[in-house]
Amino acid sequence: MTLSPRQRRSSSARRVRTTPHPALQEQPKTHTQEKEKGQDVLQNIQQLGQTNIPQQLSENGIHTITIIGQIEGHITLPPQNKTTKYEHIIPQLVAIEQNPKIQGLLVILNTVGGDVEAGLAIAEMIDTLTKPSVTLVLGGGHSIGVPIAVSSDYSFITETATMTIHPIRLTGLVIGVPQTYEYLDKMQDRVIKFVTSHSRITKEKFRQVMFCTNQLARDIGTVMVGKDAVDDGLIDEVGGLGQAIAKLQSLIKARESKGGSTDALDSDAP
Amino acid sequence: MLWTVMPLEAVLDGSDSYEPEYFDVPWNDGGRLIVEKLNMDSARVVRLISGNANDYLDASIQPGTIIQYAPKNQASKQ
Repeated sequence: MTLSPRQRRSSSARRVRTTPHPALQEQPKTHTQEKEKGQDVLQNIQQLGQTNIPQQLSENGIHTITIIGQIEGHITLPPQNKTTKYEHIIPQLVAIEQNPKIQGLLVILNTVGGDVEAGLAIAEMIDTLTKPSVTLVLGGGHSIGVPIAVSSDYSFITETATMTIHPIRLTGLVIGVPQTYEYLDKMQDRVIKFVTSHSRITKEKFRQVMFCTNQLARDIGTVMVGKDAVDDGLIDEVGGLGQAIAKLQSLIKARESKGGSTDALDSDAP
Repeated sequence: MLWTVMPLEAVLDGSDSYEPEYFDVPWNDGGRLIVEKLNMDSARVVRLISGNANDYLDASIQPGTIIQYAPKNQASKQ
């Protein structure tokens, strides 16, 4: 199927009709036939560069979430952006917590940042999961990707992946009064507090790298490459997919041995 | 508030002019899919609205997925 560039764009609802269009009044087909499934996967690869990851769910108990592109929050971003929509990730995390077949969560990050509130919401949700979670930073985990990267039980970064830490700033009309700067400082403190309480990096060190002036050409801040993030205490270990899955499986086993698995909880229920 | 390494002019470029058409499609028991129509028999999922959290684990309706529609046979209905 050939699609125009406009059709290839993805975005969220800006104008929604309350009544279905006549051409769309039919229910979607259930993808039961193998041929249709194959076509769907092919289309997903063509459109999104990804396949249907949760199909692995029942086999190993590990659920994978990919956080890519911009983390889209309260504002729908224009179609040239690849986005991760928080209104889909948040209920997905609820389902992961409740689904007895899911034993652990692997979060793969390759994000350029995005909405502060959405990013912090996802980070808090991952942090408060009772099931083991591991994050893996591939490519980049920048800006608001940093709190998400440190929110899991254990974090990995690949050798070549980078994490940019730079100050939050306001866009649009800015009123030049002290309250504006205080608000900005409060927003920044929310991030700093979360990151420093979920990793080994100290507040002083995090602020130091955030306001560094000799690292970036167009900005202030620091780019941490792989091992730098581990040395500074932001990420737990340098590693890739194999290490991340092995660590998650060991965390799942440790939880099961303590009787903390979902099955064990179910058996305790009256 | 956006906090990103991408230049904001690149992120927000085109936000004024892009106005795709979206439609509601009923999904499962009381849920709704908001889809962007691509052509006569396919649409892209933009958003899922459901009270059942497990629906969000269904990869076939994740945002960005292309879903197919069966063509309606008007003659068979009469």
